[in-house]
This record gives sequence, C-alpha cells and structure tokens, in this order.
Amino acid sequence: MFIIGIILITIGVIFSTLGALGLVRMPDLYNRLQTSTKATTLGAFSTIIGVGFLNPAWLIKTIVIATFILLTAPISSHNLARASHKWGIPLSDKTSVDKYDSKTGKEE
Amino acid sequence: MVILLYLVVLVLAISALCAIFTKDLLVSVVALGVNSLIVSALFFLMHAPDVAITEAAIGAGLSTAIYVFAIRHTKRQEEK
Amino acid sequence: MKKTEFLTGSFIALTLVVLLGVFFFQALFQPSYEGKVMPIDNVNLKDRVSLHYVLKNVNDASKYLATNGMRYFNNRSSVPSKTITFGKTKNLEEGSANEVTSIVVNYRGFDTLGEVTVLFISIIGLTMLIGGVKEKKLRMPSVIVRTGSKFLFPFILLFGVYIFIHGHLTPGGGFPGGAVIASGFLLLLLGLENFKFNTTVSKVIESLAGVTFVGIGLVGLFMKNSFLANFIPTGTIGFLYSAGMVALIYIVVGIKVGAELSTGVAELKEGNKND
Repeated sequence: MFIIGIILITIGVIFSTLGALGLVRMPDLYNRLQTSTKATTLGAFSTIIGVGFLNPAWLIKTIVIATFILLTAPISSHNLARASHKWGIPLSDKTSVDKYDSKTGKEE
Repeated sequence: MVILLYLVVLVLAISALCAIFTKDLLVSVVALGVNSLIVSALFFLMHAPDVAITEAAIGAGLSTAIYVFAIRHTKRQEEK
Repeated sequence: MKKTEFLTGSFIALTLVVLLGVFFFQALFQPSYEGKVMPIDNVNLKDRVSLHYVLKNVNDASKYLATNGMRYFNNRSSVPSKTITFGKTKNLEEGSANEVTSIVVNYRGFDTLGEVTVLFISIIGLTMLIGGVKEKKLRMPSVIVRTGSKFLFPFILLFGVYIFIHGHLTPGGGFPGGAVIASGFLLLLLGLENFKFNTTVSKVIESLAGVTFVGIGLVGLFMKNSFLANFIPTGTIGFLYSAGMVALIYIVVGIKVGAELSTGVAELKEGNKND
C-alpha cells in the first residue's frame, strides 16, 4: 500500500512538472492549452489517488475528488479554446491547416 | 514554513498591482480572481479552514462572475 | 485623470501600504508576557485564546476562575477540564465538535442574525438597481458544455447540501454551503441555451427561511427565557444528531444564502422584467 502510494505521487509530480515546462516552451495559445491541460490533469489525478493509498481510510473520498477533476478540467479548457478562437487570437505561423475557421460563421 | 508564507504574499502583491495598473477591465477582473485564490490558500496555511472554504466559494467563483456580468452591460476599456 | 494626479495618488497609496505592512509584520514577532518570542507556526493555543473558549463549557470556567484565578497566569500547564472524548461524552453545555460553529451560532447567535439581515438588504438593493436593464443574448454553448453542465449539476448541489448539514462536525457551515449551491445554478445559467430561473419561487423560499430563523429564536425565548437559547438536548458529541438547535439554524441559513445568491446572479443576467 505504502509503495503504491509513493509511486503514484512520484508519477503525479513528474507529469505536473512536464506540464509546466510545456506552458513555457510552446509557441502558441492553443498548443499551450492542450499540453498543460492533459499533463496537469493526469498529475493532479495521480497525486490525489496516491495520497488515498497512503491513508487507506481516505481512499473513497480521494477517488471521488479525482473523478470530479477528471470530468471538469477538459470541459473548461475546451470552452477556453473556443472562446479565444472567437476573439481572434492568432495561430502560430508554423500552423498549416485551421479546420475550425470555416465553422465559426455558423452555430453548431 | 515562513519562507512559503512570504512567497505566497509576494504573489498576492504582484496580482494586486496588476489589477490596478492595467487599462483593460477584463484583465483586472481576472487578476482579482487570482487574488481571491491566493488569499484562500493563505487562510488555509494559517490553520483556518472555515474561512478558506468560504473565501474560495464566494471570492473566486461568484464575485468574478458578477463583475463580468456588470462589465457586459457597461464598457470594457477604461477611459484615459 | 491626468498623469500627474495619478502619479501622486499612487505614490501616497504606496507609502501608506508600506507603513501598514511594517506595522503588521512587527506585530507577529512580539514576545508574550513570559519573555519568549512566538513564531507563527507553533502557536500554543492556550496562549492565544481565552480560557472560556478552550474549556468550551462556560459554567466550569467561571467556577475555576472564581476559586483560583491568579494561579492561571503562572501555572498554565495545569488547566483542568473534564476530558471530552469524541464519540462518547454526553450532554455537554453545547455539544458541537467544530469550535467556530459553537461561537458563531450559539454563544454569538445574535450577530449571525444581523449578518443574515445585511445580506438580505444588499440583495434587495441589487434587485432595485437592475430596473431598466435588458437581456443580452449569449453565444450558444457547444454540445460538450451542454452535456457536461446537465451531468454535473446534481453533484454540485449534493456537495453544497453536505457542507451545511455537517456544519457542526466539519469545517464549513451555512455560508459556504449556500455559496456552492449558487455556483451550481450559475453553471446552469451559463451552460444551457434557454434556462429560465424562477425568481418568484426563490424569493419566497428566502423569506420563509428568514422567518424560520427568527421563529426558532422565539421558541427559545418562550421555553428558556432567553432569545436564541438552546432548547433541544445536546446529545453525544460527534454524532450527526448532536448540538441541539445549531444544526437546525445552519440548515435554515444555508437554504437562505443559497436562494439569495442565485437570485442575485440570475437577475444580473436576465434583467428585471417586472415593470
């Protein structure tokens, strides 16, 4: 139990650090949103479940919290990307295709 | 432990200064939201969990939404 | 505002902030009356709060202070109290396990009544100011946001109700519980495409909850000769059915604050249609 908790917390810390690194090095808003959301969601999820394994009395509460984070973080980043495309924040100059541009005119 | 408190207070000062000195009102509202979040973390570090939950729910959630609704009905850029 | 006025104003404000900051920080390092310097992170609770609060049983504390009051200041390691164990001690004077709740609702319950009144008056002011505002349509949200909001709303509501029902056991209470309920309704307002919030029903619920608060106080007046007295027997500390009327008052306050804040947010988005 103890060893599984330590391994999960280490994985969580590594992925959170990689997410922060991606926030600095990516060229564009949309790339930054994608990398930081994916990496930090996994990092937070692993850390919280690792704490649940270290104290087995809290295991069910930590699973509930981690499921809530897993459900809400991708929805919020999707909405951020959609809103910033409407306000016209430019894509980086290395992008070749913009598939969302033709759909901005009509509502889904 | 004391070093952590000083670092958190430094971020608080930076976000408050950013909220005052910018001309775009929407950026200022987001900075106030960050301010409420840091104050909630500071309350938790001082062993007061009731106030931390209240500040997180009201300051970083409802207060920011009410400010954004008020900006929608008026203008977005502060005049000179 | 011209540039010179802005600069002098900000210079004066910065000076005041620096002075206040110096004053606050030097207050943290003052020595106690024994001559020791007390840093922030190992605070001895009995040095910072009064004896009545620590014993949590006002009659015992008065008797102790009447017999040997001066000896408290010299011999602080021998403060007697009955041993209070979680889950076993019955019929204390005020049986809630959360110390903040026992102060806010029982020993200083009249101030909570004033706080609830101030919130009520501010929501009335907000509703009166939104007189001539028209509704602006938001852009229609995408299918992911619509499905997600409909799925998440019952869980947020359940979490808010959990916070104010367990107000006498865990940190929280009525006010954050109501704020979380209002955040759930805000999610529905922003995430669905035509959601009408019925402000008439929520105003009626809020007023009834306020009347119930005062009604509980009046029942205490008739039964024990004191407004907001605790007239229900306090059971075992740590159980859900403990602490007398503290649990009832927090349920009422939670419902009232939740209805109030949801009404305020919905009126800001839609405008007041009563003309």
